[in-house]
Amino acid sequence: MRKTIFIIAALVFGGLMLGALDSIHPFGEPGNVPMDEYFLHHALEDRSSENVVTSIVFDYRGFDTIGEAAVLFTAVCSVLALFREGAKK
Amino acid sequence: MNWHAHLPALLLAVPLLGAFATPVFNMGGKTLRNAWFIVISSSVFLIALALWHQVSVNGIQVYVMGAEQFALSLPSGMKLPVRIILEVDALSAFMALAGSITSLAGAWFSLSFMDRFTGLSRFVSLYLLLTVGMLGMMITGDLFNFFVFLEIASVASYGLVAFWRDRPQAIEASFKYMLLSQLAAMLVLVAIGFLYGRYNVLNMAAIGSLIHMGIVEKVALAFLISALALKCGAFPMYLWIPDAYGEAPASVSCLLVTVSQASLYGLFRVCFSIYGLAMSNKVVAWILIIFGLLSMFIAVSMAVIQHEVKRLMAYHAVSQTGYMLLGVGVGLLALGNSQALAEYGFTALKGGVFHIFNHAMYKGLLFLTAGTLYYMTGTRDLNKMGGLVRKSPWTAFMFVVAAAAIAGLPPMNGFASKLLIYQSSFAVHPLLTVVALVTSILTLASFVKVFQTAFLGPEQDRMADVKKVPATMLVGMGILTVAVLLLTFFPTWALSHLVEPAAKALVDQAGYIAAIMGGAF
Amino acid sequence: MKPLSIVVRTCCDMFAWFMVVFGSYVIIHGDVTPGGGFQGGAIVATFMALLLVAYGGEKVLSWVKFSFYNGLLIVGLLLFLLFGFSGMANSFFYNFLAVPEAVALAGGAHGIIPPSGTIALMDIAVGIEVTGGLTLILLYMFKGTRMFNLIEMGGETGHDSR
Repeated sequence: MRKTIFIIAALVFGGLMLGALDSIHPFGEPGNVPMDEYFLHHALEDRSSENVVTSIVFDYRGFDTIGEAAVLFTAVCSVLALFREGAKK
Repeated sequence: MNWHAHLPALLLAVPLLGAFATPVFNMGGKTLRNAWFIVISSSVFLIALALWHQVSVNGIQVYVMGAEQFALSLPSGMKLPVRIILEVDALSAFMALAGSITSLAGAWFSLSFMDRFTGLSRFVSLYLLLTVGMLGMMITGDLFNFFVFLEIASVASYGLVAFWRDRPQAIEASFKYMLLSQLAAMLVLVAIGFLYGRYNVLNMAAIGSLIHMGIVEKVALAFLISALALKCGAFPMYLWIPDAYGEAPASVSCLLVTVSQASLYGLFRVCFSIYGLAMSNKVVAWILIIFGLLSMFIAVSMAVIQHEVKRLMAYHAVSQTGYMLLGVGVGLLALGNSQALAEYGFTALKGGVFHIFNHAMYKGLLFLTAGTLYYMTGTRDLNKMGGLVRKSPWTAFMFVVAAAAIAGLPPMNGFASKLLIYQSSFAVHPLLTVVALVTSILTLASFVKVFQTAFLGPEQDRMADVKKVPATMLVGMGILTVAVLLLTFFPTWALSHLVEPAAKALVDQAGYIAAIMGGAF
Repeated sequence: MKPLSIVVRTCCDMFAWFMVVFGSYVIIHGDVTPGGGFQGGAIVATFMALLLVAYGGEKVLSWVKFSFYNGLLIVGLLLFLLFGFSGMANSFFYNFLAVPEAVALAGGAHGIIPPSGTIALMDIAVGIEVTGGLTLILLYMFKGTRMFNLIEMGGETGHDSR
């Protein structure tokens, strides 16, 4: 009984996602690209970096990168807190 | 260099610096680390206060990360913003203020509460990172940045909930919480991906100006509402809350309340400022109202029968979240209709928003008093406690203040916000008010039970060796008590200066968009 | 874990330091070739994974110094924040060292790689941080699998003690 509910829920969820994915824009061609074109044209001129991906990661969206570095630090702190040596008896 | 203008970035950069530098300070000994913790928490509170003052005087503050000037949102030749923009309006500043007060109170409390445990430098780093995640969720204006801070807050809270790892229930609670929370984060990411694929911009205000409903936007809205409601503890998705809040150390529970409110804030931003009038707000509003009613009633009926103190308070947290969903849902119902807005919609929004602040204050105080009870007696079971009012009268006094606030007894601040919610929901349908009133009575009943069992009554003989409550724990609880009492004695000032600008900012989608796009809406 | 056979150990000896060199190459050339801080840091962390598999836990845990990797983690993070704060005159993460390409070509002294400013420096900081962090996770999780043999747990019950 629970299995049938889960299967129906998974089918509905999958159907919604595929239906939405299909109608974002036609497969293979981008729909609107104003921001992407800005990055491609200006990354070399303004920032002198040949790797556009790195210039987006560290310059245009650098704040998200400090967030991701903080997530890594948080995961390390959590693992260290869980596996710490306890108080010596 | 005018540092007043850099306040939004400082609000996030200072606790990040604090979290990263804590292992360095830990090498200097325990006192140095505790001093660094308190210094960082207090400066976060002062920055949040200064930011709120600036927003209430100058309007919406916009800060662009990494641009030549901090207010240049649209670079030359572009009609859409390219960089990450922090946008602080009155609602964001209001919530950041609430969050920084609870973070400071929890910091003072955990100085001596966590004293006998090792690994405390990791605890302080994780606590400061949880604060960063919460504040970042509240002040950002960019969807993917919201997701990054949601991840920081989630991963920090997984570690903090499982901090007492010698207790297997804590690890199980953290694992359950981790699975559900990761599911929610993935749903949020997929929804952001849909919106980005359609409009090619990630900025909240820019999407708000460009949006028109189709199947992609409807699916994204469904994913965002269900994922953010899971993170804040609405009705069908609240089952992780009693375990996670109950097994975490008390100061962490106090902060986790406000972290859930940050997800609630995200839900309101999505419904009011991104989608706004483009969606059919009657359907979404009724969904929020029904979630609110069911959370309120079911959670409080499960809370009355609990005998473990922190689980009881966690169920009450769910039921109070139901009040906020009810209030803001009624406000959303009246959004497009300016006559309905003037009649009951705006009052409902004021009630819901005021309840967020009140709830953060008194629920945090309740968790801290539960932690004090555990520190004093070494047990969490109500059946084993009794007669503690003689051992620590200050704790009993603060518990009475918080319990009166949550039950909505006049003249406390809880009564003020609940009255606004009752008045406005009565205009929609009387059944909503009836359920809210019954919930309030059951809340009062369960807190009378807790007070009578734990504090009054005869002393049991195993209670002869309770520990004395240290001063820093009383300072931590005292901060929240002062906040509750200030809101109680000055309600009209609080309503007109704190709550009304926040509620107006929530309704004002055009102003939110115009602050970044420059009036081209 | 016991050490594996002599064949595995010799192969590990040959490749282990090569991984570090290759990973550093990927980190440092982050702003010119594909790759960057996160990817290169993960490659350097496989140094410790190779050693743990080939030499066994006891031997590795006896000579590794946790404070070194902790130091790498903290230094990387603080450097990253330092670069963020130093552009504060304009805004928080401002790239104050980048020179636009037209100006750089006219200057004529930069060589082949254009000066991309704090992009390259932040890249190296993130590489250092990811190295330290992933190595620490590997070592602590490995220690955790043998925790009940190595150390005595005690005294920290967070639950009802009376």
